[in-house]
Amino acid sequence: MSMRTLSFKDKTLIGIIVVLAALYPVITNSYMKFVLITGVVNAILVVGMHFIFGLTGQLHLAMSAFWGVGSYAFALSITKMGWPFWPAVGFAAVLVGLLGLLLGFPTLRLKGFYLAITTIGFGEIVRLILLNWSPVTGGVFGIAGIPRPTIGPLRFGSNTSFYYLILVMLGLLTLAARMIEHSKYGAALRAVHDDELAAEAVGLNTTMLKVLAFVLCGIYAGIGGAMYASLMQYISPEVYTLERSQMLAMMLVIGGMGSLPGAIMGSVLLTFLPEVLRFLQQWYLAVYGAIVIVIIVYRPTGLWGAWEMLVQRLSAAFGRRGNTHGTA
Amino acid sequence: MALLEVKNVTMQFGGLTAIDNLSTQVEKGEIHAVIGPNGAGKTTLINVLTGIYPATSGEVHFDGVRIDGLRPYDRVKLGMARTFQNLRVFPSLSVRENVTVAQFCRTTSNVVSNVFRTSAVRREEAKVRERVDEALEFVGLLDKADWRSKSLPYGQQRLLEIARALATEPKLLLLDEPGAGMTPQETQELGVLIRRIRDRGITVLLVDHKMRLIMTVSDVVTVVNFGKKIAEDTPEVVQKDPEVIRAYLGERGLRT
Repeated sequence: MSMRTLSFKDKTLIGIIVVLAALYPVITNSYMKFVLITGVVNAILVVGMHFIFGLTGQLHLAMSAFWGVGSYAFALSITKMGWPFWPAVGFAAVLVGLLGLLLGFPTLRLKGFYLAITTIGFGEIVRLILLNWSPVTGGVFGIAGIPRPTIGPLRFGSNTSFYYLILVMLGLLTLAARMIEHSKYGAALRAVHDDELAAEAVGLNTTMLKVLAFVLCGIYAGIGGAMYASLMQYISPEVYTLERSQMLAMMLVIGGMGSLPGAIMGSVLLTFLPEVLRFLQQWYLAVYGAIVIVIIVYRPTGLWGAWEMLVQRLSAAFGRRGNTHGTA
Repeated sequence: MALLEVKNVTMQFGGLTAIDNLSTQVEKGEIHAVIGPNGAGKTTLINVLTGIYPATSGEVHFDGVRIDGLRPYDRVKLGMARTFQNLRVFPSLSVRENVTVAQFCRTTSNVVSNVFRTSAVRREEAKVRERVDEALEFVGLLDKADWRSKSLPYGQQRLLEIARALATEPKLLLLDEPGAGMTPQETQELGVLIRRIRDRGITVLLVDHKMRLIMTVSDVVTVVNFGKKIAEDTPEVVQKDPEVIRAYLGERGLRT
């Protein structure tokens, strides 16, 4: 594929990955470096959510369950069963993919709020299992001693090396998501989003497509969960909460629903926002909420929409027609 | 053998009988119209035939297969396509994409091969594009392929729905009031288009109000009233049927 066939969206995606790669050494504060790594892990999860929420328009609030099962499946297969690193990541991806199938089938007839409430319930069930099935999950104590990745002789023990590894993974997973989005599947999922009845009437098996979106989301969540566990080296049930699911959904909305660059922008920005606002102390949540509301009300197309408009204006100002005819 | 065979189909919504023990046949290669006053059950019939509503009782056979009980997309795969009375184009998809998704059911590539965009996928995409262009060309929308579907004028959105239905490669096309909201000029062009569709070997089942359109294009007309079939014959015969005149114009219509 030559540069000329790349759409504005594709170029933005490449730009984001390059900026993220360049950003790490610029940040001097080691805590902020760590926040950036978390942001990239979150981006993997949000790119997964893009399939089910962004493209197919199903409000899925059990992301914490997907992500949590991914973390635990990975951590247990390494610490208890002695699996090598990458097969354990693969196991987490497959298992959460199957979990997507499991959640997908019974909830297919549900839409909108009904689906949202059911997925919330599902998330709570999984959280309680993680918390109370102590012999396996370690209960409130969680699981410690989770290793950092290795590839052959290469060890990614330091945060810096882990960051560039996870960034490469985000790049590859985003590329895969972009390929699916541009394939017949992407258009079909958006058709299901637009009008389910009409989609069935043109021969789309909406059941199969929605389950597919859940499974894809599960695979990404499994990988994201595994990498999160490896980053933290210790996991416990208290992070896999509904609040996190909502936060991940918000990242997608703030980034701009239905656009991959937006998903990554939203993830990184919303991971940083609480840290940047920390100086406000007890006021920070109020200000944080206000910022989110302002973005949703005044920029319903999210960060992606704002970026698209900015580039259009700039290229108009410089007398050059920007190619911004991405698919909506 | 008839392409579509409807046997004693009844559709009840609670206490309301929208279709009452209706039987009819659509022969291969004909343009078959279903007419009737408002609320006669015409659109309900299309919804039953395409699987949106499950019939309360009765059987539907299509091309030798019993299809009542099949999901809508399975019926599309067997060769049944439809358009909607109230437009239902996919608003977030471009004109071309609207037609492209209709080819989905005729493709075989899986998700993994699409991620890697294998040569088989690229061949499939090229074939799909050719078919889609051909369908758009057929209805005269090829020059607007990259438009947002919702920015097409009303009449052209109807044509887009027809192109979309044709892209599923149907044997039978069900048109639910394709002339609704069209100008007389557009309606006339629609009549020509419907005949061109039939000339491609696609059987057409047409539901509409516009008498001139029905009478000029159809080979057979079925008249329904209160969910019952009251007449079925060529347009000329049906037009003179006293029962039909009564249904449309009331008792006094007969005296003049």
